Amino acid sequence: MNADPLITVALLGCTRSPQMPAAPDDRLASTWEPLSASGPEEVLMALALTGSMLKAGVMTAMETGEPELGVIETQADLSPAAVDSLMRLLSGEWEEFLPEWMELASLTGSLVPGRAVPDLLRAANRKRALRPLISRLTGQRGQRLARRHAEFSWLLVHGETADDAWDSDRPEERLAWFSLMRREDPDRAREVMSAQWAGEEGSMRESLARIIATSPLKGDEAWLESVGLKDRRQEVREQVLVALGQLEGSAFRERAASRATAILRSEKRLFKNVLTLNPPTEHAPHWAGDGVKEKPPVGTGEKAWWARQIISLIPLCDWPGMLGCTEDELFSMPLDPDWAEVIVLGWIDSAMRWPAKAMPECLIPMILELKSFPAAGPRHVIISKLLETMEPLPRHRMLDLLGPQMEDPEFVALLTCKPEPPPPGAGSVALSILDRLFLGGGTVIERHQARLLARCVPYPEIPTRLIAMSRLPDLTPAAEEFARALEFRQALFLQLTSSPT
Amino acid sequence: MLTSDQVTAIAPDAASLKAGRDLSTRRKWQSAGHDTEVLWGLALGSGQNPYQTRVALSDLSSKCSCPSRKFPCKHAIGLMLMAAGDPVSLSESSRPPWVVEWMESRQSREQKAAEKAVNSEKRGPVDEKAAEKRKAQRQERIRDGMDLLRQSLLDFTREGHGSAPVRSVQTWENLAKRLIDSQAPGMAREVRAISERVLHDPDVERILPLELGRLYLLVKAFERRDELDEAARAELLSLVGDRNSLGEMLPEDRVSDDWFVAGRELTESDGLVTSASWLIGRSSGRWARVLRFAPVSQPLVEPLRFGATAEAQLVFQPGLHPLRATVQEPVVIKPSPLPDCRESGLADLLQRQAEVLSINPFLRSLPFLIELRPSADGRALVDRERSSLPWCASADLAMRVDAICSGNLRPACGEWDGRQLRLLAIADGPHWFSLVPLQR
Repeated sequence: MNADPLITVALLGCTRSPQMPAAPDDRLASTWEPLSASGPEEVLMALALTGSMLKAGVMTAMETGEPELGVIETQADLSPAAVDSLMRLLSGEWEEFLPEWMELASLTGSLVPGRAVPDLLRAANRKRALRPLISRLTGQRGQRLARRHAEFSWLLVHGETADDAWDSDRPEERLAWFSLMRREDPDRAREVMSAQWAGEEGSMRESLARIIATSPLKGDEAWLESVGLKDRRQEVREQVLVALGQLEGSAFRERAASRATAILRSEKRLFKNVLTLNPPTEHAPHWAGDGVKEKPPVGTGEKAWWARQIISLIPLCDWPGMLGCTEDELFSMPLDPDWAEVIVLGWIDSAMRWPAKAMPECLIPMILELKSFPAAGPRHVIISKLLETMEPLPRHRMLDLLGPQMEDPEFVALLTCKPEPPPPGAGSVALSILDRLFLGGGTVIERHQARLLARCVPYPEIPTRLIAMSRLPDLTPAAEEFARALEFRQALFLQLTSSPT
Repeated sequence: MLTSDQVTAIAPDAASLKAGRDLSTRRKWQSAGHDTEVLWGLALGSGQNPYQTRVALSDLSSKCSCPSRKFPCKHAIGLMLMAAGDPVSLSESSRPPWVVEWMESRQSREQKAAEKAVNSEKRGPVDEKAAEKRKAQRQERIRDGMDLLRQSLLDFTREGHGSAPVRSVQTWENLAKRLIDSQAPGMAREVRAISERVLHDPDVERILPLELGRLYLLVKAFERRDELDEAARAELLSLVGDRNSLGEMLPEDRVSDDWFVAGRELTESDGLVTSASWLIGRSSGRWARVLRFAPVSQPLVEPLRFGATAEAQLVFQPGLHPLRATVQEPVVIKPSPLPDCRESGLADLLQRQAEVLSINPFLRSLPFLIELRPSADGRALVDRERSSLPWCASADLAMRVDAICSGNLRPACGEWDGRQLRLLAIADGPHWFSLVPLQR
């Protein structure tokens, strides 16, 4: 019930409350006096009087607690035009170009102003790939917001980490501390992690194992073998395998190598060396601890399944040493015709596990020459993942080699996996294929693909392409989208490279 | 020249704006040109012949030969955006015949309208007796409407403001409709505010009786308006919505100043778009509320750009504390930095509120321009003295303002309604940023 007696009278009605309450304040007494009759008119007038009194008599409250020190950024904010473009990108218009905007903006050394920071952080909530540049673009304002809103706490990984962050409730802060401690004092990092490992949630254990797998140390081996490999979560065990496979001279690598060399050999047949496979006839119980599962998926034979897994546990770059051949010889060697698919699947699994050790310069051409590609996923996705491990120049030279050998739809799909402009000295073949596709037509390209392909054109080459396209009497919908995307990219480039900040 | 904000504001919908943006590239135009009065271009479309698009810069009205029923069409929006972003691409300078023809026909229409207005002024009222009769009828209808409202308020208070009919949205909607029929649109708006706002307030138990008390005070004051002074009468006539009677009792209050367009809000109701802008005079420190209206199907052209400073003369409508004003031509937009905040803190705002209420007890809200920041819990705004008042904001808005301030005080414009602060705009560095959408 309302504490104000006049409000109570009004809510209940005059007929039920014959008594008019006293004036709420002595200063209203004389004005209140004629309203004592408690009829509806008097109640309404008293309410009007009370309302005015309340409105006119509002007092401010004093803020309690220590005042917060406001953030002072030393870097300038981006230009309003650049921020307007960012707002359009964040609203969903041309969202494919948000990463490109972020790359260009980060080169200016300027910051995203406060009005756009929450939307940018929300976009990075949805897409993890955007996160690496966020810290540089949002500065102290972003860090402050992340400290105040748990949904952005991932940003704290890139910011300052408190000494006691490991004991906090926020996983991102704990992971940030762990990453830092791995660099500064790995033994202590391992010690505190081991102490709490059993009580950690699965996702936290996976994240910790992932951090270890990015740069495993010799000192990690004992823990990885005794605890990590026995973890109940499959994803954790996979990261532990990745870590152990990178440790030179580890017991795991020796076990994996002895299993693999027992089944895969280079044998001389007629005048050539052939890679032959003698799959295991039974599954040894201790293999499971090293990640070799016993039960095959439906449609796969047991021997093939075990052999594939055994091969996949060897980083590809180890095979030339194990087989006594060069890298080129390894991938040009004829494969055992009965088991060729199993060997290739094992190699691909290994390449996906350790892409940096997959020798993409040799593996990609071999994959391309396979008459039938095994059921390991779309070929362009696997090639794309391998390409990502290469430096930009060799990557784009490889794309130039791949373009003429692939069908247009597959090459388009490959380019759209990670669309980016080529560095100087590469990309001419890929770009000429794009010109043929958009200026000549023929191949059906989706509009969203056209937008992504527009990212493959270097900025200096955009104007000539737009001029060429404007001379055409009619553009296909995909070519129209391609041209619009090029125009938008050109505008972004000009805003972020020539406008004053 | 044009700005993209102006074009954005007149786009009929988001789809048209997006389509217009796509057309704001020279590649889409066979030819394009401009001079000081008009933009024109031949838009390449799917038809055999390009569309002839022209835009008059004085009022941004446009004409296009495309079949679109939207106004302005995407071609006109595209042409305007191109002029705003890349004016060099409108390279032609001599008007083609179809532009000359359109401008001449516009000019002749304007002349005819002006002549008609002059003639009607010269002629005076066609029939004074009939006009008097119409006026008497109108006032009688308003009196009937106000009587109905008074009687309803008394009945509701007898039964109790907690009773079902008083809490029913339909009750207030019906009452608002009756007041519209009684030619009291202002009172209809006041009544509709109960169904649209007060009944949905979490504090409805306390707010509803106080609002009904305020309404009753308004009804009673209107009954006794002949006993009141001119300013009070003008205020009441304005609140009730009897604008015809208002026009008869001027004295004009004209103020020339450099006006900073501090806040703007677009609302849509009953097929009408209303743009309400808060202006503050840089020299006079005076606040003005400028309203513009347009049917939803037509563009609402705002010569006063949000966040800009306009050198202009405003004519204030008479009242107890005049805020509503109209802008007199010409308006000169000036490049200026953000203005200084007149009030040093929230205590000054409360003092002003108390003073204004003592003059005008019907006041709903007051505008402010004060350096503020959100409190730690985001439920209040805090000034330089660390004094705070409650702040009404969605979680999204609170986070945005928090990100802009980042713990620092920032000049902010908004309204104080006696219970809560509401922000409309804030300074984000040198940029004046609207916290409410400026596009339909």
